[in-house]
Amino acid sequence: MSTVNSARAAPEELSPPARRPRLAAAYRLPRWINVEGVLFVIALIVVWQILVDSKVLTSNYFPAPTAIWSTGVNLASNGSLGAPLGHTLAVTLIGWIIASAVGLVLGLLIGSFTPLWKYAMASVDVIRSIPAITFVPIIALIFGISLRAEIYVVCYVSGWPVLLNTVSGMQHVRAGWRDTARMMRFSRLEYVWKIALPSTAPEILVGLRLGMGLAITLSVVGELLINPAGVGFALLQAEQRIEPSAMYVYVILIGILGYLLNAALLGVARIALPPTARSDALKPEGASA
Amino acid sequence: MTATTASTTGARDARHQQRRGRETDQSGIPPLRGLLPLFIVIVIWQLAGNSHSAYYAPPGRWIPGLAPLWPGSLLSGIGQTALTWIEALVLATVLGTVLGMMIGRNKFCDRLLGPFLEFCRVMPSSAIVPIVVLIAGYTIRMQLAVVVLGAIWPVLLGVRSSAQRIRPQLIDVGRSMHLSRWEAVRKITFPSVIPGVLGGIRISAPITLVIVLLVEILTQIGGLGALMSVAQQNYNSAQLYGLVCIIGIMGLIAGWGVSYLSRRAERYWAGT
Repeated sequence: MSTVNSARAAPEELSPPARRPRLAAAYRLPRWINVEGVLFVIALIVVWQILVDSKVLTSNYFPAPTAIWSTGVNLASNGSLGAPLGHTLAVTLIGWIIASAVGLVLGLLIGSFTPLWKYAMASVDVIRSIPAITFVPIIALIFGISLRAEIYVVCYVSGWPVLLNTVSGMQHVRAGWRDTARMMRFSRLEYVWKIALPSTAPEILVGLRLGMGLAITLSVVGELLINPAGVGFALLQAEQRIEPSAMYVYVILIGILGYLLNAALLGVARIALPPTARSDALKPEGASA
Repeated sequence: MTATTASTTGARDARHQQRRGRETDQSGIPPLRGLLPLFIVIVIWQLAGNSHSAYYAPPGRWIPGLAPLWPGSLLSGIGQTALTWIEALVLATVLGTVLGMMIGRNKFCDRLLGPFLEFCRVMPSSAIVPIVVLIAGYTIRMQLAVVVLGAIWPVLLGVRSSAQRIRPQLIDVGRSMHLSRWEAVRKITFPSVIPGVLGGIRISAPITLVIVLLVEILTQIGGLGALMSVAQQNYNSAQLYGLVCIIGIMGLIAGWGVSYLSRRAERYWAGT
């Protein structure tokens, strides 16, 4: 792969703006359809299938893609696919919405009242530095096996990014805009609504996306450890019945769920944010440091 | 805001800055008096809490609660968690840097691996644990695989974006000096992506600790996470809160350590 590609790419890279002919361009496909990427995934699946069929990969724990597919169809037809996925999706969304709302309100409060920031932020920083996952056993201990405990776990962990990003975003509101608000004698509420919230939107969005990822992870944790329902519990059951192909089905589906939720959130952001604010918020998380 | 001379403008701006600084004094490290609410909660918990409560053991019982674990299992738990954390962080950094440079410098690689990596990135690490356990068993290797898969993304994405932003002139310099592929990577690409690596490590260090604990809690194969899990199953809330405090202190030390090391590294590479 690399030799062919480098041979073709080398002369063109001398002049930076030169465009390399892409597979997609050759067939007049729109740019956002990533033909190479999709082909790579398909190739991976095909290679896996060939390895299993040719008995190179004989382990029971690597079932052939066709076996995974038929297990998936089976599971879907007897109804043991929709219910766990629905449960996990519902818990993720409910927990994420509650956590984001609480995080946003607290963040706006701490960000807009300086005394509150002075007298509370250090506490927030200390509690934040305790890895949130350590509160999972505590919540499990206090609330026992219940849906409530699962939602609390999701809420506690996924609220932090929004809270912290809102506070830090409000600290970086452009000084000129702050002065404008003062000149126009905005009330505190007007300042938050008209200046702080719009200019903090990209950072809040990054927080929302981080929180969403955590919410899915933690709802599965909650189902593995606390509440016997949803995809997490389905995974456990498949493990105990030693049905690797069913496990793969659930893992792939939860990955697709995460992919779709992330894409949906990005779509909303693309519509809701002004073009100037987009670049930051749409960056993959992690790159925004 | 119109000033007659540059110097008065400067002075006025400085004064203005200073005043504004005082009014919205919300930058940098929050003052220590902000610890007050936490302190009050802990004092009230100690004074008003039921000292025999099974769920809300007051702070005074936390240290005695840890006593049965001292020293053997507590120290080995701390050691195991810290070791896995460091190993996973190093592995994730190395792999993330290599992969990030690859897809950042090569558009074809980027598009080729894009969807696959995106799918791996959004995959919740908790969902992979059972399947990797099945494949690799309850081993340290399994734990490392899961943690690295979850912790690699900040470094990978940071390196990719700084590799994409290398100035084209710099690449041309390498070409005109007939550097070999390896030399070009070592002398041009790698030094340019160091900020991305360091920024990525700073983000992924706490994430890695979380995933290490997550795997330990889920699989109970050792470390502080396993100790917590056992304490929870025994309804030993005092011990549980004590362990949370220890993990919190570990998290703080880890955070300081990583930011200290990355500052040192930044200065080292900025000097050359």
